[in-house]
Amino acid sequence: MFDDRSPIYQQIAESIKDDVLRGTLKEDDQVMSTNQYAAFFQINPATAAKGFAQLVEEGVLYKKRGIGMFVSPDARAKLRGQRQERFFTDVVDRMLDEARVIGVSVEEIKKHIDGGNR
Amino acid sequence: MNPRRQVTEHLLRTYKSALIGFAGVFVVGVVIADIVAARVADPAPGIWMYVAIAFRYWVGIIAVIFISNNLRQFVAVGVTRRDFMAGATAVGVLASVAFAVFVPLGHGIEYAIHGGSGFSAATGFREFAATLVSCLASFVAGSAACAGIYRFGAWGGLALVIPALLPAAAATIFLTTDSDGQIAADHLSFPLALVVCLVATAAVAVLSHWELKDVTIRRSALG
Amino acid sequence: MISLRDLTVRYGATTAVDSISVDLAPGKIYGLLGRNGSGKTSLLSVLSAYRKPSSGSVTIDGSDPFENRELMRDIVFVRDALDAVEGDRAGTLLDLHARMRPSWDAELAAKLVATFELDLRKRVGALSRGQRSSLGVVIGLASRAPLTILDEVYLGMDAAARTAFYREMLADYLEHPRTIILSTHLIQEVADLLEEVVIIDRGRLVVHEDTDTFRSRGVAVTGPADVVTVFAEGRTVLAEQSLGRTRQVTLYGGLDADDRERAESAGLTLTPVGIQDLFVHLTSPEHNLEAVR
Repeated sequence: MFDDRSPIYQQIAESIKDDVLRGTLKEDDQVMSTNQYAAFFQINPATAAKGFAQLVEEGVLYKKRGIGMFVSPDARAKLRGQRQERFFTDVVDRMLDEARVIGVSVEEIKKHIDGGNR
Repeated sequence: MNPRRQVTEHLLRTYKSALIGFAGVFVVGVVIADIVAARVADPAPGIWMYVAIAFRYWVGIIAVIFISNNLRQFVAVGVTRRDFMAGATAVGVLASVAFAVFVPLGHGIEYAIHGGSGFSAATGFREFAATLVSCLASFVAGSAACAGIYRFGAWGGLALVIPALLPAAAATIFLTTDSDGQIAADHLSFPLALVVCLVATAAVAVLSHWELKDVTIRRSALG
Repeated sequence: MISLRDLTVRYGATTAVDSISVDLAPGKIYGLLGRNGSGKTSLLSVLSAYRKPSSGSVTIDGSDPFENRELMRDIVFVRDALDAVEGDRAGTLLDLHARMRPSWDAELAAKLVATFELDLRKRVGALSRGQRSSLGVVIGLASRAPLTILDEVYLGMDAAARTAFYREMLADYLEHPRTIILSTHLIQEVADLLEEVVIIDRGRLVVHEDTDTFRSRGVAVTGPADVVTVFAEGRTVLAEQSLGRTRQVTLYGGLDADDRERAESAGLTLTPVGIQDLFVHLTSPEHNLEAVR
């Protein structure tokens, strides 16, 4: 589940964000408690709590005192906005760099996309 | 519950059956020996007091077992060395008292059934006192000797074995009883012999305490 | 709070624990990591009042645990040898713990005994190495002591039993948070369970920080030898190897965003270093620790 590439709490936060983006977690859905999360993924609860705290700070989750943590109503839209911004720098630009290195022209890429191979 | 009491109770529970079993075998053995003796000799010699002299050494062995086996186990359940020593000493004292009663009692019964050598209340009392003091001496000697080895290892501990065994040696020299329950040697008067043995016991009890009060809990009995 | 101050343990001329000072906050799971003979057991023995330090001190909430009736009752120390009477039956040993430990949980003990398939009628001396370790785990967890110290308790346990041990430990910790110190050198297996790691090597403290921070400290930099050399200058190099003109160095200390950008634009490849590898590098015999400290 987790790897050594980045702190586990960040990986936890990322995986929850993915769930929100994909719609697995919907607005105002309750997320697992830190203890449930820790037991499920076999990690220290403090690590899980740190991941959740980051999500609360970013506004992806909100806390209801004594009940638990829930997905913020605007979380999905917000995350989409962030990922869309990153999409061009992180995905498209990288692809174009690679294409240039290996001699694939932009025209060919366009053709590939228009061809409806997906 | 007081941890000392828990130590005492656990040790009694653990070793009670073994001790009673051993004592039972002794009694049966003595009865058989008495029957044989009565057939072959007249008047028949008493057997009990020959055998009863062994009880005092048992108490020493108990002390060795307590330190080599049980100290570690009790520290591991969160009992302090001090509390363990107090609880274990209580067992040593109880066993000493029990044997001190058992020895003249056996002698008296043998005498009553079988005639044999002379027995009187005074003899019985002397046997009680001699056995009690000898048992305590033996307990303390066993404890100090074993604690020395536990603490300082086989070689370091060996040097301490000699002083550790002094009370047991004193009891053997001054308080060994013969088959009639009489003190065999007459180097000292009986009360003085008791006092000498008790003083040696007290001194070595201090040694034993010193060895154990902050001893490192090792993985095995011999460090 | 557990506080070690200049803690030193010597055996004759050998210094097993060398002036370690560290504070451990209550209620966390700690990993005490170190190679064999690094001083882990000596340190834990002082902490659990099994031995006196040669110098320095240990205090738990301000008091010395040595011969301290209240504190010793609240500490359970399970070491690989298992401090039991070999002739006792396993069940007798658990009964003793049950009587002596105020917070003993008989239900948990029974559950763990079933999980590890322990035969309580067997004598302690007759148990296999793995069963003996499992019995130690039962004692360590069911005692539910406020300070639970498990010293390499997994010896001889197979992978399935170890997994069960980690799972049960975490589950019980979640329900009953307490301070757990787990000494191990199988770091990869337990890293995710540890809130903080304490690494000692040759008796000295090397690292004490939260596991996630420690995890991100190591990075391997690979690329043309001269570029790598320039990049590594002034940084702590844990290990290095060369193949032809390619060189790889393992750096300790974590890189910030600028460093990463600089490395990537120079054509260097950055790869994370696993926590186990990081530990191995930090405690390898040829490595000079002082550079890290």
